[in-house]
Formats: sequence, C-alpha cells, structure tokens
Amino acid sequence: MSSFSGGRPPTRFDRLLTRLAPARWRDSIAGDFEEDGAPPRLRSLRLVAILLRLHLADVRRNVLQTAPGRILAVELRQAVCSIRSRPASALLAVLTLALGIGTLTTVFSVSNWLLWRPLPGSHVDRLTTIRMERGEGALAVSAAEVRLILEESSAFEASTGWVAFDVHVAPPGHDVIRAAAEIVSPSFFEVIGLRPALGRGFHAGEASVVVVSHAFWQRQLDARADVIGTSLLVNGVPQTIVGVAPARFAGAIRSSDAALWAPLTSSSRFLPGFRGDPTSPRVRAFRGILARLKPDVTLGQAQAELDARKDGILSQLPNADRFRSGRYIAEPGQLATRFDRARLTRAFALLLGIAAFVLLITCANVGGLLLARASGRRTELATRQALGASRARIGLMLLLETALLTGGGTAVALFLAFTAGMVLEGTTLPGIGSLPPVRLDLNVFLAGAGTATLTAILASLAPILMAGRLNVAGSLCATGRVASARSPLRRALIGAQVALAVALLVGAALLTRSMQARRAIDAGLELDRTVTFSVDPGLQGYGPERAERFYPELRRRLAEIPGVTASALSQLPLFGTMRQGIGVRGQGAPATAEIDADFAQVTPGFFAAAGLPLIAGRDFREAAHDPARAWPDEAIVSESLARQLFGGGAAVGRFITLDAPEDAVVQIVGVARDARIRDFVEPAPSRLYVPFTISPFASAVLRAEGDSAGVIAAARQAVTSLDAGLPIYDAGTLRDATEREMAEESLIARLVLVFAGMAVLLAAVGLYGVVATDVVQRRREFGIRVALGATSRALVRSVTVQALHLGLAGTLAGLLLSLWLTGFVSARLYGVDRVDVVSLGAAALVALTVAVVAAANPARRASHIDPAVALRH
Amino acid sequence: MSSFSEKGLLGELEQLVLLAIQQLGSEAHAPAIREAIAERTGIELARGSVYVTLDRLDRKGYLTSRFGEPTAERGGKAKRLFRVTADGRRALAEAERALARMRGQAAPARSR
Repeated sequence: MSSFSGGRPPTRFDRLLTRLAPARWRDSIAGDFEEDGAPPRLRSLRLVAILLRLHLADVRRNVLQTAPGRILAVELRQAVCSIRSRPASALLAVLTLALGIGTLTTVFSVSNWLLWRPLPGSHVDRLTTIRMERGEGALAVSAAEVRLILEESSAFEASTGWVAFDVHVAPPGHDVIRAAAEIVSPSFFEVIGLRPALGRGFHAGEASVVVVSHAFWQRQLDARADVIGTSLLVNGVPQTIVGVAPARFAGAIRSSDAALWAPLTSSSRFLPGFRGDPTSPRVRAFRGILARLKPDVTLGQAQAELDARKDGILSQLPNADRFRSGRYIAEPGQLATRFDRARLTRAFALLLGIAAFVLLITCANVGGLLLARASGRRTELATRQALGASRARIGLMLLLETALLTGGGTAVALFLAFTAGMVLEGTTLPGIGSLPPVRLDLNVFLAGAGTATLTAILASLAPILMAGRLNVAGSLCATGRVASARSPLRRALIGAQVALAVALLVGAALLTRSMQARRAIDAGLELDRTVTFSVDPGLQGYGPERAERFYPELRRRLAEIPGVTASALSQLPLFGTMRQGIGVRGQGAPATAEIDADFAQVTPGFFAAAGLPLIAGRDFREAAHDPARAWPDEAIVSESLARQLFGGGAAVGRFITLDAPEDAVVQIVGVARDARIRDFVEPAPSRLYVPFTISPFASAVLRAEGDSAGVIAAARQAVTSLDAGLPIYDAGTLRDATEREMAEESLIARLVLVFAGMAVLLAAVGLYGVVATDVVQRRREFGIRVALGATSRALVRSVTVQALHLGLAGTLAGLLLSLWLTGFVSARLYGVDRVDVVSLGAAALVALTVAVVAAANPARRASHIDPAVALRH
Repeated sequence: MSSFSEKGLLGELEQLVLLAIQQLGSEAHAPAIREAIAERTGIELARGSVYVTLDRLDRKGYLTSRFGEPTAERGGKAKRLFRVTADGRRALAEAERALARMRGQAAPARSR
C-alpha cells in the first residue's frame, strides 16, 4: 500500500479535528490521515468532510429515528419546503441579516481599531494604568517607582514604565523617516503578555537594543526574516534589532502608532533630552506605569493598597516631599491621556449608538419580512391545524424555518465581514494611516446576531402567539379575498425603519455639510499652493553652531527648487501645534492693558510664501537680526493685534513692550492680514511675528507653482543632500495639513454616511418586501379593477401612492426623531445649524425617492395582472 | 429459496466495500479499502462514504474490526482492520443471487 509514499505529520488543527471524531474511529482516522500525502489544507478539509458525514449519520440514526426525532425530521423537511416555496422573502431575510450584522461587525471592528487600538496581549484584561496625579495634572514617574510599586504592594505581579518620543529611524535601503518610539522598562512585552512575532523582548540591563513594530518591519524592513541582530540607526545612533512585535500591536497608549520600542537604559544614547543615567531615581523619565494585577485582585483593592503604600514608596525616593500631595491613581486598561480618553469616548459612543441604530433597522426589517411570510401562509397553517396538527408542532416548524434563515443570514454576515476585512486591509485613510488586518469584534457580532435572531423568532411565531385563535374557518374562507396582510404591525415596522434611516441620513448630511463648511473656511492663507514640511535637526544632536550653519544653507537650497517662487522657515508648523503665547503692551497707546497674543518666529519671505499679504509696512530684512543678540528688535503684528494695541491708528513704526524676555522693546515694521494659523477652524488669533532665531526644529513654507508632489520630492532631496540622516515629515500642502487636523471628524462623518447608506438600503428592501407582498395579496382586487376598466397607469399609481404613504409617514417620524437625535452630534457641527433645512430636505428627498424606487417593480407587476387569472384565485 | 432478510438487501456501496475487505484479507483498513475499490473499478469513493458505510455494515453485524499494531508512519496510531463475518458473507451471497435471478441467470453455487 501507499503507506510509505508521503506521510506528513498532522497539524495542530488536524489533531484537534481528529479529537472530534466518534470514539470508535478516533485513533484509526488520525492514523489514516497521517498516511495521506495531501497538502495540509486539503487534508484538513477532507477530515472536516468525513467528520461531518460520520456525525450526520449518527444524528440521523440516533436522533431522527426516535419518535421525537422523526417529528423533528418531518418538521425540518417542512421548514425547508416552506423556504423553497417562498424563496424571495427568504432570500431577502437572509440578505438583510447578512448586511445588517455584517456591516455592524465590520464598521464597529474597524472603528474600534482606529479609535482605541485595543491591545492584543494575553493579559490585557488585568492591565492597569497607574499615574501619579497631583492637582490637575499627572506627574512623571521614575524607573525606581515602577520597581517600588511592584515590590511594596502585593496587588501587582508585573510593572513597566512608559514614555513616547518621536525619533528618526534610518532603515537600510529606505528613506529615513520620523516615527514614534516608546521608551519602556525591559519587562514591557512580558507585562502585556505579548509574544514577539520574531526574536524576543528585552532583557534586564541591556542597552542599545530595539524591538520594531510589525508594520515597520513589513514596510521599512521588507519583512525580511533575518532582521534580528541587524543594526538600525535611531537618531543617527546604531541600535540592534532584537525582536519584531506582533501584528496589531501599535503601542502602549491608545491612539499611538509606535514604530519601535527601546529600553530606558539605552534611551540616553539617542535621545538628546535624556542625558546622564535615565534609570536613576532622580530622573522621572516615564509618563505612566502599566502594571498587571494579580489574578484574584480587584482594581479597588489595588487602589486601596496604593494609597496605603504611597508614603512607603515615596520615602525611598529622593526629594520625596515634593510628591507627598500626589496620589497614585490606578485605572483599568491601557494608557490614555485624559484628553484622548474623553475625546475617544465621545466618538466611540456616537458610533456605538449609530451601530445600534443599524441593528434596530435590521431587526425591524427581518421582523417585517417574517411577519409577511407568516401572514401569507395563514391558509396553509390553518389547514394543517384543521387536519390535526398541534400548535406546538406548527410552532416547531416555524422555529426551525427561522433557525435556518437566521443561521444562513449570520453565516453570510460572517463571510461578508471577513471579506470586507480582507478588502479593507491596507486601505489608507488620509490623515489616519493604513488599516492593519481587521480583527472582527466577536462580542459585537454575537450581540447583533443574537438580537436579530430573537426578533426573528418572535416575528415568526407571531401567528401562533397572537392566534391561539388561528381561526380555522375564517382563515380558510378569507383566503385572498381581502387585503388581509396589510397588518398594522408590519406597516409600523416598515415606517419605523424608514424613520430610523431618515434620522441617520439627517445626521450624515449634517456631518458631511459641516465637513464641507470646514473645508470652505477662508483661512486667509493660500492653502492649495503652499507646500510645507518639518525638520527636527535637534533630534540628530545638532547644537547651536551646527544649526546656525544648517538653516541658512537649507533656505538657500529650498529657494533654488524649480517652481518655488517664495520660501521661508517658521519655527512651528502652521497648523496643529500647541499655542505659544506672549504678553504685548503698546507704548504710548490708549490701551494700557497687556494683550495676550500668539507668537511665531519666521524668516523673511514667510508672508509671501504663505500667501499672507502685508497690509502695511515691510517684511523682515535678511540678516537684520544679529545672532549675538538674545532678542530681535523688530516685529510684525497681525491686523487684529494692531487694532487691539493702537485702535485705528497706524501701527508701523511704533514700539511695543513684550513680557518675555522681561520688558524687551521692539519696533513694529509691518502689519499682516489676519490668518487662521494654528487652528484654522477657530477665528484668527492676534499674532505677533518676530524674526526666526536658532531653533532645534523648524517648518519650511514654500510657495509652489505647479506640481506640489514634485516640490516635496525636491525639498526632501535638498534636506538629504545636507544631512542624509535627517528626515522631513508632515510634508504636504497646507490643505493636507488642515485635512490632517480634521482626520477624526472626517472619519466619523464618513462612517456615519456608510451607516446611513446601509440603513437606507435596508429600509428600501423592507419597503419593497411590504409593497410586493401587498401586491400579491391584492391580486384579486387588482383583477377586478382591471376588469372594470382601470388602466395600468391607475394601478401603478395606486401601488406607488401606497408606498409613498408609508415612506412619508416614516420620513416625518424620522425628521422629528432627528431633531432630538442631532443633539448628540451638535458638538461636532461647524458652520451648520442643528436644525438644517438642507439636511432635513435632502434626507426626506432620499427617503421618498427610495420609496418610489422600491415600489416600481411591484407596481409594474400589479399593472400586468391578468384579470382572468386573478379572479379565478 | 432464501428469504429477504429484515435488514434489507445490501446496497451497491456495501457490496463493494464487503468485497474489497474480502480481497484485502488481513490488511483491510479504510484507506486500503478505498484504494482497492478505485484500483479494481475506477470508482473514487468519497472518504466519508467509506467510513459511513463501514459503520453501517458494522452495525448490521456484517463486519468485525480489531486494531492492528501501531506503526511509525501512522504517527503511532493503530489501523482499524476489518473482517467480513459469516453473516456478511451470507448477505453478499444473497444480494448476488437476487441480482442473478433477476437477470435470469442460474444462481451461483453457494459457497460452502
């Protein structure tokens, strides 16, 4: 025999499968399959097929041949027959379930990742964030505290510190990039319970080692298997790669996207901010602690213990008195900044609410469909009952049928969600990044499938539940005579669906319009033709002398780029930065109060490059500033600042006093038009511009005529030619920068739009179902009307008007509902009212159009009814 | 004249499997049976059919099985080896006779 031909060891999956075999076969089947030389995947498939057949045979014998089993078999056959006899509504039910649950699962899983980046580790449920809080803020913690919290309290079994930095990484053969790095304790991966995809985590005490993220490994290191042990330049300092983190792990903090992790011990070698020994108890290097609770300890117990041990921990630290008023706060789960948490919770709650909406619509839809099926077969059921079938048996048949339909629907939903996940993988969302492999959220899937199934069961049992009075004679006589199935419950369900869909549409329209309004903002700058990027030579260890040589040379090379008509440097990027404020007082001005102004350092040419006209005076002059002087003696003010300082009077030539450095006096040489710099959604702030001095980082601003991508490439080239290890980042037009600022709003608007589209589709399917069954049930009536001379147009109108009535009722309810529901999005709206006629009108229009479209096919069928055939029924 | 037994006449699949077991002698385990049928008839049975048919014949008492020596190429798992029982041989003969009579041929001599 072929026993020696090609035996393969079984995979773990196969071993698991063979354990599912009936006992009499278990060992021998396992053996038979080791003889099989087929590829593992095929072999597993064969195994599954065999197990199914064996078990089905057993079920048929053991269950279906007993008396109750036979009943089950008969009713199962009946259920299958019944599905076959009305394939259209069965198919619709399956599709509705699949679309509803599939969308719910996919969108929820994707947004869950985008907003929360849930940790994939095995101990995630026991992870705790510990921060030292004092007053309003959280204090940094030292490596010693990370250790002491573990030693002094008995609540935790592992702990790690955490802090994030941006670094320059130069992967061999790729452009140097700026990426997020997390500096951690050696036990970091072990605490979360992460097994590296390649290599290992950190050992205690080792330095100059890094673990890179899975995404970084795939994109920047070409997914090479031999990267372990190779060297990677981090901020120009070689580090050895010891591991690759598992896929989907993007960092300890929610919403972070780290490319690499490094132990605190080696951080001082590449981080300019960390000099000396960062592990010393004097250095509070970490922003927070991530600790793992012991299995039987609750968070409350841990907090109580932290409170009790605080003084003991602090007494072992230097200058402990400074922290006595602080408190260690333990919170469940992953690290998140307070700002992040509040923001994400709001976004998440919104999406969750909308997902629940879609689920509601799905349920209403499936409920409606099944009700229609049930009412369409009253004759059949009544006949069975008349022939002696008990209600229990009819109920069983209905249950089985529903189980088959919902089972099919959820299976297709799962398939859809998986497919969507695969299609979406790697999709790049502007300003957000590319999606990792989507991990479907099982809880949401089960919640969706469970709710829908429950609804389906209730709806399908409705004829039995409502009618112990399945009035046999009545049902048999009434068949087809009157429009018996214009059930108010069904119509209400469809109306509710339309209403929910309209409310979602209004929300989507509001969010979309508010995105449009944001995009239409006149920032006072030339957004589309201004290219900007940032550089951070400080990270590469540039001192003042080197920076002083670097910036003028950079400016010279940028100015030479073809297509660039003006170029300049600004210390801070134009959008998305923290505010730098300065107190300004005008000399000899009526207003004596100090004015709080935004503050910016720019080189000559900035106003021309940014498309920001000077309305009085002149720009800064080249080399007007003597680098030996600590503070410049010229300034340019924005028009609103000029107005605040001097009222209507001329500002150019006047002097102002600044609060830092104390009482510096500078002369105003120009007035610039107001512009929405820093946060372009807010009204333009009062701004004070001073000449650019030496800074560890800078943003370039280039006026590009023509192709901005070409200008960016040339700019990257210019920087690289000066320092090959220096990356440019956040490169793009000012328009791109504003899009980055709006990424979250834009994502939410798009997701709500997808959900609304889904809801409309479901409502359309529901409406179609109602109208179509209605037409079938009114066949006789239509037949009579045709016989009496009704034109086919009249019949089409009759059906369409009926659908429109339903649509209109639903739309009105939906509009009312939306007036209440939009309260939840009002905080996200910009430039559009909560009660917005355009959005309301658009939603209503879409809903009514959908109603007409859904009625088109049934209406056409109604008009084609042959009275001779219809009247015979 | 033999009676139609209460277990019913053997099906084609059952006959094929029983005959294959008889021919394989002491080496009849499921993959070998499937292969023997494929070799002699060209019929590639689904693996699951072979197992299910073996189960059914076993239940009818036409087969007995024992476990052979575990071998290394099977990952230390024993083969389940089948043998046709006297009842099984009778049932085979009965099925063959019934078919032969229907075709109008003489009944083959009863084995033993």
